[in-house]
Amino acid sequence: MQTLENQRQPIHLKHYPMQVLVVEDNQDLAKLFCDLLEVMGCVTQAAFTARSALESARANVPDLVFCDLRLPGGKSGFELAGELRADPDLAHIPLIAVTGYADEPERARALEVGFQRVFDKPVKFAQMMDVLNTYRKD
Amino acid sequence: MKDVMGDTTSWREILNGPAAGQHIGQVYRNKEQFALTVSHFIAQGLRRDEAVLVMARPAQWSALVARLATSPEVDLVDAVMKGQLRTIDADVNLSICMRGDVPQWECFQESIGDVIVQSRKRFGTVRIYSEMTDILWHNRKRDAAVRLEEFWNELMRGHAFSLLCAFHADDADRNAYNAAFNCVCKAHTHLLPHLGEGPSNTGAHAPAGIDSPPTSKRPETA
Repeated sequence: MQTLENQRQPIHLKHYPMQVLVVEDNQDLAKLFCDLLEVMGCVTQAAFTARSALESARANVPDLVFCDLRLPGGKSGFELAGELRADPDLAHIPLIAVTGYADEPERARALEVGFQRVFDKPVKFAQMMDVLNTYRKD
Repeated sequence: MKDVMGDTTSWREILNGPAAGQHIGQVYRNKEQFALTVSHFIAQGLRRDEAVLVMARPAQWSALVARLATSPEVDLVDAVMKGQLRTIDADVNLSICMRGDVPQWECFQESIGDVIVQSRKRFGTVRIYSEMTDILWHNRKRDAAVRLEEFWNELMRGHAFSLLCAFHADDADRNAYNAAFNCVCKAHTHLLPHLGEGPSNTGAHAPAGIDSPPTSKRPETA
């Protein structure tokens, strides 16, 4: 796992192994997501706020983003999705929302701002695997 | 050190529900053995709604995640979200506990004691997996390894938890099973076997050169 705070070196791998950005403010959970994704063969980066996620995505364009909808620091996952979609270099990245609180309006809003899927926490290993199989570029 | 040697108690039974105060040592030769026993210990703790604290190196933790992630009995994400499963980088924590080559009791206690207290309040029962001693051992800091095991036993006198330590048996290291290793092993209440040796996965034996254990009682199982 790399974090903005502890980024060892730029990652230049583009398509294989798949590079995944995990945006999650619970650092233990972010680490576990990264561990699980690495077990599945991905290279991971973790960001704990929307702001650092945006910086991370611009520095190393990921192939996929898992993003918590509720984030600290004044900018939510919805806003992060909007900014990613507005950036021509990042607009193509598949976005997967992860939330512990999604009701139907929130779920609909997530899809509206550009998330491809919305998962309730706790996310299952099989769900993550399914997403990777869907978006993996060989 | 007790029992499993010469006993028919299976390693699984011992790891299923260790009582507070049980300090189990697992000597392993390959990563598969390691992942099998340690993931079993973790999974059983999670299934029993115990707090589980894992102090592993990142590569070792990855091997455990690979096994636990596909287990139908365990939901790692849920366990982390609830605070039931906590992971600590063993290298990092060890560096906090050491001054030079000497483990420091105060630092050791502070780095782990609070976590145990918090976990006990929330979950009642706490089990810990640690490989900090193994790191010291393989860095040839053998006196420090023995000292750290003594710290664990001292910590157990003030806090109720069970503990599993895993040690990689390095057959190429002629000094691996010397008197110091004997001291490390004797700090444990149970020593589990290398799996795959002997007629079955039940019973146990000491690594070559380890003294026979003292008379011991059967481990309690939940």
